[in-house]
Amino acid sequence: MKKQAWLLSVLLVLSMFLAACSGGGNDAADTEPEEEPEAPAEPSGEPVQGGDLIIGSSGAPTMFNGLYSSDASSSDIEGMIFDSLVGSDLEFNPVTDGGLAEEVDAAEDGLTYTIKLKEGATFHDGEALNADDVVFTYNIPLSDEYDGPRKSYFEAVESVEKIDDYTVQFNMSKVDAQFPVVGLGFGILPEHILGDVPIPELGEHEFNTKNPIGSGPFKFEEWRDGEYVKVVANEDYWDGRPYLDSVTYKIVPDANAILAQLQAGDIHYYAGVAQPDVPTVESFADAAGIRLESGLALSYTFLGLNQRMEMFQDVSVRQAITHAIDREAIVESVMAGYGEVAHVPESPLSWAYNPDVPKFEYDVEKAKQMLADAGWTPGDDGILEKDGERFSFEVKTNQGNKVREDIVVILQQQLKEVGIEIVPQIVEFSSLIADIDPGVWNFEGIVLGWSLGTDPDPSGIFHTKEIEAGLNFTAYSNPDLDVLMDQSLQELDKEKRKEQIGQVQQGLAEDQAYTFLYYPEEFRALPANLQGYEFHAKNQLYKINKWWLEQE
Amino acid sequence: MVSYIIRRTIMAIPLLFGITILSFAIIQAAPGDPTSLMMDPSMKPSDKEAFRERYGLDEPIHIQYITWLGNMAQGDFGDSIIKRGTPVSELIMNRLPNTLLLMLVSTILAILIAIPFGIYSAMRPYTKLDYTVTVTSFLGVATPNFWLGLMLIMFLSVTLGWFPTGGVATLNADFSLWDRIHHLILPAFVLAVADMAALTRYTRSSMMDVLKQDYIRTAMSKGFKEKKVVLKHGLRNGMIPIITIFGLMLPSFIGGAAITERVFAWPGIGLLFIESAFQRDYPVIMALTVISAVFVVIGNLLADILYAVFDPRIEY
Amino acid sequence: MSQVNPEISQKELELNPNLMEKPDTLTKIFIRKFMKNKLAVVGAIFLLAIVLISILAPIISPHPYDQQNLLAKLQPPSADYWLGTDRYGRDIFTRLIYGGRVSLLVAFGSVLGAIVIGITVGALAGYFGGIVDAVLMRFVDVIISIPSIFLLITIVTIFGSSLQNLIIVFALTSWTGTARLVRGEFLSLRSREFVLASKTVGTKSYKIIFTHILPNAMGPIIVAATLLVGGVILSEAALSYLGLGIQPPTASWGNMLQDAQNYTVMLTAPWYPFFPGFLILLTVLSVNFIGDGLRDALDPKTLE
Repeated sequence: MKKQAWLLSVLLVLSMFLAACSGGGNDAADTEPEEEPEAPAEPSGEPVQGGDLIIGSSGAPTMFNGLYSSDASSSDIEGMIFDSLVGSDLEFNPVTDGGLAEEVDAAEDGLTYTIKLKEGATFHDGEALNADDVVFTYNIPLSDEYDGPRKSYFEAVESVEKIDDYTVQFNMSKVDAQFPVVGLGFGILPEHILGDVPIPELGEHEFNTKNPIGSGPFKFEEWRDGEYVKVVANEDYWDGRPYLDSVTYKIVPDANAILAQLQAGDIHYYAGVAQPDVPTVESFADAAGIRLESGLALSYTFLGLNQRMEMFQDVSVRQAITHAIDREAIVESVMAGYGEVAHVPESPLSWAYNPDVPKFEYDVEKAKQMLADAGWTPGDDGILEKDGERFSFEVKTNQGNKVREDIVVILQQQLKEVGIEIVPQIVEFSSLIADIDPGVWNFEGIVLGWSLGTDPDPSGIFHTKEIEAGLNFTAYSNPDLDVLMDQSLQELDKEKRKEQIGQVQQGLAEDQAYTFLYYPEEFRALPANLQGYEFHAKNQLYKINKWWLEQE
Repeated sequence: MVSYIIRRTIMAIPLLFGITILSFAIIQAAPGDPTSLMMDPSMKPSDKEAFRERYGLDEPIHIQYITWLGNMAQGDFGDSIIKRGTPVSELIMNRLPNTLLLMLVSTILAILIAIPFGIYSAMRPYTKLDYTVTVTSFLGVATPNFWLGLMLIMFLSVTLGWFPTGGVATLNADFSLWDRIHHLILPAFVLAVADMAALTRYTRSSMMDVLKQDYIRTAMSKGFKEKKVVLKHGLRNGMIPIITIFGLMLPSFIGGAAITERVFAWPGIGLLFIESAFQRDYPVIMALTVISAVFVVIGNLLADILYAVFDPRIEY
Repeated sequence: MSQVNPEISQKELELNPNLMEKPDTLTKIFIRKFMKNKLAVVGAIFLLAIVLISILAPIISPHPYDQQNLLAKLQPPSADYWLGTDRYGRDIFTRLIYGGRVSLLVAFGSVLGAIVIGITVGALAGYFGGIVDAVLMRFVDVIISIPSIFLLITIVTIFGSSLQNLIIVFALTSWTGTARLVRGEFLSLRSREFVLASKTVGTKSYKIIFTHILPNAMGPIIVAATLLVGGVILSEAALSYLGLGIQPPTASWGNMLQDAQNYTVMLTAPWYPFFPGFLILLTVLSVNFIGDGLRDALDPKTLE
């Protein structure tokens, strides 16, 4: 019977697998210090050195090279080992603070960026970091031989050249408003180590897994697969030695086990506290010497309807569905109240967020009326019908994400009120993604979340050109908005761009391109005596070199 | 017997060959591929294509299989696709000792507890002790490993602080034998519970069958010491089902501890397999499938050999 | 239970004089023997009761099984909610009754399937040995070796999801252990005197298999079936996460138990997992006692 036991245990694990694959989950949070948490009030004296911080993570890293990795855990660690040219502030603006750039000079026409580097930065092996390293790093994704996942970030870049030892210039083939935010955020690699490696071999090079060397505040010490990654303070960091002696990034695949370890003090920091678990963590926070910080996550959760299906092509039907959904109640119940109802595919945290869009509040009567006007009438079983077709559809979501499963169950209950039947279907993540792959589109409704980038461009998901082969899997199309989206990508004036994107958001809300559900609030548990911490929605380890542990 | 073993060993080669073909086909037939988890609006479909090309995922399946087989034949499991640049063999070797240690300890624990209780239960059936053993062992069957593990962590580790909450050793500490044992106790116990339950039942049932045999009754009536009779004659003949179970347990050494590994953050093969399956990391999945298949073949061959050892009347 | 063939070997006749006198009342003997085993009877009554309650669930249950009350989540047992509420404020008692429908159907359906396949394959391999054995057992090796997760995902993709498919999948993936157990027993039993005797008398193979060897191999089969029932009930929930089988908001004991395996639930509503867990335990125990009763009743060697 052991074989069965094995099969069964594999299945049981599947059912609990929350790990890396929650797909656009919560790797983000808020900037507004909206509810200053009960941080130790005494803004105590001078930072002191010392301490090992153990960070818990359910995801495991894959490698430490930002040009090749594509998961959140890897990028957490890359952020400690490597420096990028510019950083992102709490409003997601590109800033030189914390970055290697002394000054970023963008040309009026947006076709060149001249960057002056700070002097004095060195790699962990002692070599100075200069323009050659920057040119080397950026030439990798520009090469045709590059096979990593980041090529499209650099589509607009024509070339990178060294002006002098501490100045580089990026030449653009076209204007790309996103470039300074996302393109300049990659970790700089050491040319003196990797310069001779042929580009096709870089993705597999030992540097990425055995011995990554950057110029960041922490030095790589050890990676034990499935256990932890350890980094130690870089004594010679150009921005001053970090206060923490070391950081251990501990991999604990199960979220329940992470909470137990948090309570027992075996994990000090955990950024993924699920909303329903917040009261639990609060209940043991004092005893365990931790506190919670929270903020809006840079993401949203939605119900996508496959608009290849006739029933979803009618805008008023999509609007009626939104009216029929009590999103407040969803936030209240599945998120324990920690979230905000969403109306557009952009976080309220973003500078481009437009609060002034059509909103479809919970109104069952109105929903019924709109559906009736659209020709849907109740059938014998109470489910709406039109031309002999029942208003019944399947809603898929991914296995392993309790919150999304809960949403589907509640949606089913709520839509029944207006005579719409939902058949929930929970699917393993990779299979689900294959279902929305271009050409497959094997879904009717889908509950997923998008993690937002620091740039507010929505075209990757809602532009008509992304239907055929891109991520516009619901096949939403509005030619007017396409024009606006194209324009906004060419617009360098932030105010004008904001206005264009705002109009796009208005259109998307009016059309209910997705049924936008909510923006989750994110909770991070950290040591009660941790100082210097700032809540950055996109980077859970924001300025970790400035964190310090107050001594009792 | 020797010729039988040789025949079986030779037969194992085409068998493994067949298993790999079937497994390869089924693994690839499941929707999704290693790029599935790279869901990023800024990643163009062409980027995914380039990636697929890089790893030959765009080739027809039989070409992919032949390539894989070619490498396999040279003892090369290839590199992980998700953890680019990390050889599969390295991933497995990092974790294999952890899993083997855990499985070995829990299996021994289970045997040491289950077999005596099973025998005792069979010798005194329908007594209070027998019922206690029966109910307890089915309690083991009805208790999910995960729940038991989490419960033990909550009470023994978090509340009472008697045991570590997980992992194979204390972080940032020097090696210490006691520390390793300390970390091993809870997961080994949790794993043993399910095995214990099954083993106790099989032992009890076999022993009861044996004890019903005439010659045992005869032996008993002749006044031999009960214990000696049971051990000498009984156990020997009651071994067939137990041997079968052990043969089937051997392959579970590879992936059978996944749940326990997960709740105790024990970096083992079971977890590696599950993660790789979700990520569609084909080379890792195939390597583990091959290893597991080898264990299946060896386990069942060993069982067949042992049958003949314990029951010389068995012929193949 | 009339499949117990009245053809009885000389040896057994000697052991059981009853049979010699009135060989036509074997069924009665069987029933009488079974009824004498009190635990087996209690088990059977319990199972019947729970099946009945499950069937009558819509009539008996105090609440609709999918009625949510988000204001009363994870309530402790009370007059209104006899066993408390789950994470959606649904009545646990109601869901337990409904859950029995899915869990018992899946468990008995698939275990029956698995055991039948397992016995057939194992008996053929063990009895005939040689090339039959080699081919069948290598086939078992293949089935055990194929990574089942992918098999399941693929099956869902091709055949879609339904309760029948779930039962079929379970049956098709979990018979191998039984097959190996049965074969082992057969290998050992087929060279015993009573089998050899039947052979020399010219008894047909299938008769020897079913009337002489199989009853003697029932012990491990019953254990295997019992353990499988428990295993299937527990892991049915896991399969629904692969999109196979039941989907929310349908209740099953497995998915209720799974739902309760959460740090917050365990801290705030620790009683929740005990209800489905207890029912699973009782079911498995009942199956075990019934199985023991069956074996003893079928065994010609046990005297009345």
